[in-house]
Amino acid sequence: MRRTAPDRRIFLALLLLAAAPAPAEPPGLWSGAMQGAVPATLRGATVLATAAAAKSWIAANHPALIDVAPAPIRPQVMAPTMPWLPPAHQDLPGSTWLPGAGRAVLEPARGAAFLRAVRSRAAPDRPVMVYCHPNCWASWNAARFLVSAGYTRVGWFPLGIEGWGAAGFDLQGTLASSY
Amino acid sequence: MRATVAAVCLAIALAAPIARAADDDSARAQRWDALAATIFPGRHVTQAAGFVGIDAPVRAMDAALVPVTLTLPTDRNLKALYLVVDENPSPIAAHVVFGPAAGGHTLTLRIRVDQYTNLHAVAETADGQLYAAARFIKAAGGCSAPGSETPEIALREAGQMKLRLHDEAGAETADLLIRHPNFNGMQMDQVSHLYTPARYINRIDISYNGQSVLHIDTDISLASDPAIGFGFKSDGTGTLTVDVADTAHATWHQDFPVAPHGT
Repeated sequence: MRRTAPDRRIFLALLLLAAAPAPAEPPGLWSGAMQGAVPATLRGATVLATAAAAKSWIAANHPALIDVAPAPIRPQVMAPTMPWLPPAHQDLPGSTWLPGAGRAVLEPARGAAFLRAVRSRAAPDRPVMVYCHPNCWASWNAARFLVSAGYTRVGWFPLGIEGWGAAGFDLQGTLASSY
Repeated sequence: MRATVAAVCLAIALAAPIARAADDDSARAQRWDALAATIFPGRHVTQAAGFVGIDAPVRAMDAALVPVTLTLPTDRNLKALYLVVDENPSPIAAHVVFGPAAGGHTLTLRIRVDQYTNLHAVAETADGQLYAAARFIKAAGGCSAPGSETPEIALREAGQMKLRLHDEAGAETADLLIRHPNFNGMQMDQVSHLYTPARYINRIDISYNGQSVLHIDTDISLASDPAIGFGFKSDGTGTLTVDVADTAHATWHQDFPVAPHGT
């Protein structure tokens, strides 16, 4: 049975209720586990707490959309006969997928490469919206990194891909960009 | 160096972009059809809700450790069972082959769930028919969640086992715990920020007094420290033997005495 939009809103509400209490902002980038409860705030950025808020912000500001969700990597030791079938990655239409950027920024060289990739899409005075999945520190880190790098109009959408889809908004298949 | 960014065509691109919601049920059904065609080429898979009962939390507390209880048919003319996590990159969590000493009606495992997914349990009967049951699970991030200890400590303790026996409605059941981090290559070391190389259990053999109970081929979709609950046809005495192998060709062997009840 196909779910209706009100059902999706109920699921989203449950998702929010089920989330662990939001921790305080770490002083710098987060170097702990990339999966877990994220802060409700991000100094220097606009927190887009709902899919509707993200949609309005996108409509008003036309930001570069940066998806930093990690990409699966096939283990080299895996038996060749074992099926490896990552689902096609889906994100917000028009996004650039830079897999794993939330970790990459912890390393100076990789952080610089991420910054170049974002700059090729938006100058530091232009709006950028960063997201990944719910409870995913990667987007918090990537957004914080851009704020530190001088971006003045950073939007952070913590509910990410699942939050967008649960609100009934379209997602689109995408390929990773290297950086 | 020029700051150009080239789009790379990953081998994971299976389909042209399609605009649809992530939780679209028809997309899930399509995914299952594609998986079934890959895992069971040329064979018909009958959708049979409840043929194998699947109990798992609809919303898992820890995506890296989702408990699953499978209830097997009472007329257990089963040859094997496949546990498939549809939306995981490596979907087959376990392929369980039942031996002559298998018994009881439940099988428990713990799996990793990378994103909202259907979980399929496909039973293969002795005459080669396939029956699939499904359950939806909401959890995300189980593949990249780091282990609770440092990789060094986790690997030092790999292969340690515990077994607890209990009697359940006439059949002897056992809970087996095997220590192993089951590194999938996508977890980051919290200290070095490097990915811990993949190393995981890929074979578990359990036998009772020389007769096979279960042979399980496992993969990275099985959670770290595999915990397996199973039943076996017990005489109330003898030895339960467990053999485990991982992808680094390490093997572990342990014998557990089966004592008569009441002693």
